[in-house]
Amino acid sequence: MTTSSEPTGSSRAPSPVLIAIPAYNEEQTIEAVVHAVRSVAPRFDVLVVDDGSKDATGATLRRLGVTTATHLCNLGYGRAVQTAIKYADRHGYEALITFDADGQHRAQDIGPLYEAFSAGTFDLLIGSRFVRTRQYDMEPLLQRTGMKLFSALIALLFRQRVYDTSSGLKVIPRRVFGRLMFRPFVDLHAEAIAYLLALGYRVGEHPITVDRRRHGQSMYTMLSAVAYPLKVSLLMVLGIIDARLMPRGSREH
Amino acid sequence: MSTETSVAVLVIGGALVAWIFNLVRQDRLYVGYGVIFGVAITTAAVVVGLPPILGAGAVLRAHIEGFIVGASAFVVLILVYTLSQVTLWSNRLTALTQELAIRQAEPPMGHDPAPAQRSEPPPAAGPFTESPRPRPPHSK
Repeated sequence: MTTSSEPTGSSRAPSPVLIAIPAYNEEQTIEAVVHAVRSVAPRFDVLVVDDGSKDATGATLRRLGVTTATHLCNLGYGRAVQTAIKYADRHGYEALITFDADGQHRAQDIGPLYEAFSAGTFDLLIGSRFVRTRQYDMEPLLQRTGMKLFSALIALLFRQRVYDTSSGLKVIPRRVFGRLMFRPFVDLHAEAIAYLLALGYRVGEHPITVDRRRHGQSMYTMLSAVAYPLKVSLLMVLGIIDARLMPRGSREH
Repeated sequence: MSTETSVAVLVIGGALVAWIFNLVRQDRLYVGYGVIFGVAITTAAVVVGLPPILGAGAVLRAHIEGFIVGASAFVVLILVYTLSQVTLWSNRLTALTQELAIRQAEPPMGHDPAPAQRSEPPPAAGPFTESPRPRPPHSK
């Protein structure tokens, strides 16, 4: 009789990095996105957070055999990212890369983004559409106005310009998981950036290229045009107050 | 409305907004409710409270009495409390939904979880639970 303590599964070395793809009704794009991410980053693990999709997204993910965390109902983008952070924290990943499921991000940007993150000393690195060009003209009016507003607000509050506050492509290291897992956020964009900056963390941007959306709808609608900036602004202010109220020792990492 | 009542309106309105924003900060009231209450109370307090102070509230003065202000504040208070309870239940359901999703998502083969590195506190041993034992590698 022989015994062995060797694992019976794949002999692949454990990955320190998790790529998380929050998806809601993305049946048209999710397969191509997962294939693209797997092909450019075969060493990184991939997690798709299916945020209660009503279309065939879930069936597609099962067919692809990709690790999927399925919300029983739609919780929203911010909560989906928080699920990914909790998963990454629980399974010991050193960093989390968030990547949009709508096919607008280019998987080829993941490598350079992660290299820039590894070479730098950032606590949050944002894949930025505007840091190089500083041109918002390609964006629809509503989004453009919101992006400029939050970018200006962050510059005013922290004397640091963040050009792309609503990018879904980010590298989040383990040391800030705890800060982002349980707080209320709308979608972990401007309000999360402001909160981390207020806590003394370093936030950087790395240029990326984004394609135009070909399928589905943006999560930002006319209806949310008024409510969204108010909610994010309120959470930004409350986050800064919270950070200021925190004892000095527990504020920095 | 007298100047004293106007000042009371502004003070009550300010206190309500501060309380509501503090609930949002503690994640005990959904931020969307917080925005609605914040905007509504601030607008109402300014419209009702400021004109008499500025000496331009002749019409309002005749119609609005102090007890109406008090009753309105009470109604808002009850409403905020109710919505705060709704938010708490919603947060619990959200946490449960996330937990189910995470548990059901199997980590990829070859990935060894590292509970020692968690930033979350590990589950405590209770009367009906054993102390957490180290997981064998690659177990599901």
